[in-house]
Amino acid sequence: MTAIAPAWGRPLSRTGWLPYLLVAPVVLMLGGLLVWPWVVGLWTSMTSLRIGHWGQEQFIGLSNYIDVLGSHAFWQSLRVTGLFAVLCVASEMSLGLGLALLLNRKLPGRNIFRTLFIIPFMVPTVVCGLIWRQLLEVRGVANYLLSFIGLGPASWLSSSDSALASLLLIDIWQTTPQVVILVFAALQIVPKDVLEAARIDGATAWQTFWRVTFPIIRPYLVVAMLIRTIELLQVLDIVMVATQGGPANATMVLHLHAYRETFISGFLGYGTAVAYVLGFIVVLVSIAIVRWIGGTQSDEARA
Amino acid sequence: MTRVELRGLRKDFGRVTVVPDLDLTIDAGEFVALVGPSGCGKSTVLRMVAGLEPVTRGSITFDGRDVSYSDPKERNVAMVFQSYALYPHMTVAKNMSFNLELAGRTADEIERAVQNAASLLRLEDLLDRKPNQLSGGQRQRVAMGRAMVRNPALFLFDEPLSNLDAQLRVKMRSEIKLLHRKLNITTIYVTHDQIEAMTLADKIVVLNDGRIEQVGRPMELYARPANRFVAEFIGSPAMNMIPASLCDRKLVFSGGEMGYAYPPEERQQEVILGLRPEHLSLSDQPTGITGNVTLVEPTGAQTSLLLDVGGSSVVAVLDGTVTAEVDREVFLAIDPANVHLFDPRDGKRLPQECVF
Repeated sequence: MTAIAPAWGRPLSRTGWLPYLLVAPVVLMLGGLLVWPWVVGLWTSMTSLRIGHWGQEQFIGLSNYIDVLGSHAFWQSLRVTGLFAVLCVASEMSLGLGLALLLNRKLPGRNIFRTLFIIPFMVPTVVCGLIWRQLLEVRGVANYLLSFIGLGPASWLSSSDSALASLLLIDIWQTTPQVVILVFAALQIVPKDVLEAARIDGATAWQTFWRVTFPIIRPYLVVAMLIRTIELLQVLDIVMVATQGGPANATMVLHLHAYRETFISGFLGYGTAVAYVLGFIVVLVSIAIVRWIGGTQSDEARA
Repeated sequence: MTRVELRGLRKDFGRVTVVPDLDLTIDAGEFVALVGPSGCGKSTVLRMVAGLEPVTRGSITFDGRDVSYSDPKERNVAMVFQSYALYPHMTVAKNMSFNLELAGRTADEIERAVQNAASLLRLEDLLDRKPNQLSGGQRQRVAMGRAMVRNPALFLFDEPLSNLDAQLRVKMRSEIKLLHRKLNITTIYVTHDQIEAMTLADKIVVLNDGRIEQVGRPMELYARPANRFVAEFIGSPAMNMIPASLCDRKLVFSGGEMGYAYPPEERQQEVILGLRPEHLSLSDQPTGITGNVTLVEPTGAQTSLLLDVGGSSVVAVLDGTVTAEVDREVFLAIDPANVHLFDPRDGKRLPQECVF
């Protein structure tokens, strides 16, 4: 030990600055690209900054945040966002899991389906929104097809009853493939002979899935769920293209609300505060998902 | 204790026939080893018995009950996989009790069965561990425990020792044998390792290309291999195969000759002379085989010599006390009682009683 210690200590102290020099570019880049904008944003959210009134802002502390939490529009938006996220995640996860299990079987034409399933995922969201807007328009394809069985026409996107459901449909169509890919990849790590061992042990297909396959792929499902939840809480593009938050704010998600407050109404400080509250909610929800759903798994792995 | 009968068993994978037509009877309580080179269909046969692979044609019966098309669940077989196939998310205890749980046994029964198996396999201290916290040998024992707890009709082993290191393999081999003595459950054991088959089995089935080459007790296969394939597969190092011809009441081969009394009905001209390395011994007289030493490999108890005999090589396993030098000419005595003759055309065994 005594022989080793100086040998370790000397070169380290002599070149003590070198490690810092080597990581400096990354630290500066991260600082400049991540931390600095974040700090500026936080400061903005604590001022009365308005578009067109540059230089007249005043530091007002937390009063923007207090206003946000007291605003009816905010809570309404939060409700819409939460409902949308929960419904989307629930249906995309269950649908994605089901489809992945189906694609994992030896079915004829499996490879064609695997490819087909990826396509919606490759379509840019804005294009996707436009396609679906045309399909769901009052004189669109959906109503045309429904007329054959004597239904409709319904105003899918412009009625406050069905607008959110229509958005749900569009998002499921577009992002279920993402879940399918993740779950499908997870299914590949389940060893074939473990499933065979379960058959030998007398497990039915249902028992094999719930007692063997599901626990093994669970950590991957949590990751998929986390990704989808974060994306859905921050959803903006699809809503902007398809409904613009309407009708009557029925689809006014938080992100769109923040955007409108900031750039349409021009309340830069207030809008930023809304965005920061949204960010805070995303962090809280993510922690909750990892703790409650992902946490038990890591406990089991450790035990 | 279950008697297993395979009748006209066939397995096709698409247009490839892996097992064309197999008949085999396994007596109740018997330990049978299916042995053969990789790709010979031994695992496929095992998987058909387990119910993991559907049968193309033929029948499998357990004690006269046809199970050819039943689910693994209905067959009550236990299987130990090559990779152990433990449930990675379950503890050792859960791994072992999964079957009993699914069968709806009471917590008491399960507890007792698991404790029983655990003490038999010395797993008591590991019951709360996960498979990834176990060593290879421990995992192997858990896999065996999982098979044991359920008191199955049949034990199936699919190369259970091939993922262990050499020392552990020998140890687990004797544990498996002791376990079989204790439980006396009918066992089918698949391996490519003829030593495992020899040491463990009551009966060995040598498979090649999905066909049975020979069935017999280990020493039968060793002493009287039915053909060249079995002769070369059983025994290590492999039997020396020397082309020889019969002429003038002599068996002549490069490097030596032996006396041969012509059987009146048989007039084979060309034969293959099979000599086990361990049946050769050094001699001072120029009898038997004469060859040049090319390699000396002492292993302690035994020393093996590699000889160059007229261009082909012959291996001899001799006593460890023997000293030999490379590039020296040596004479190896052949015991006529331990000579094997094979037909070079179809590899079938020929009567060797006329060799002297």
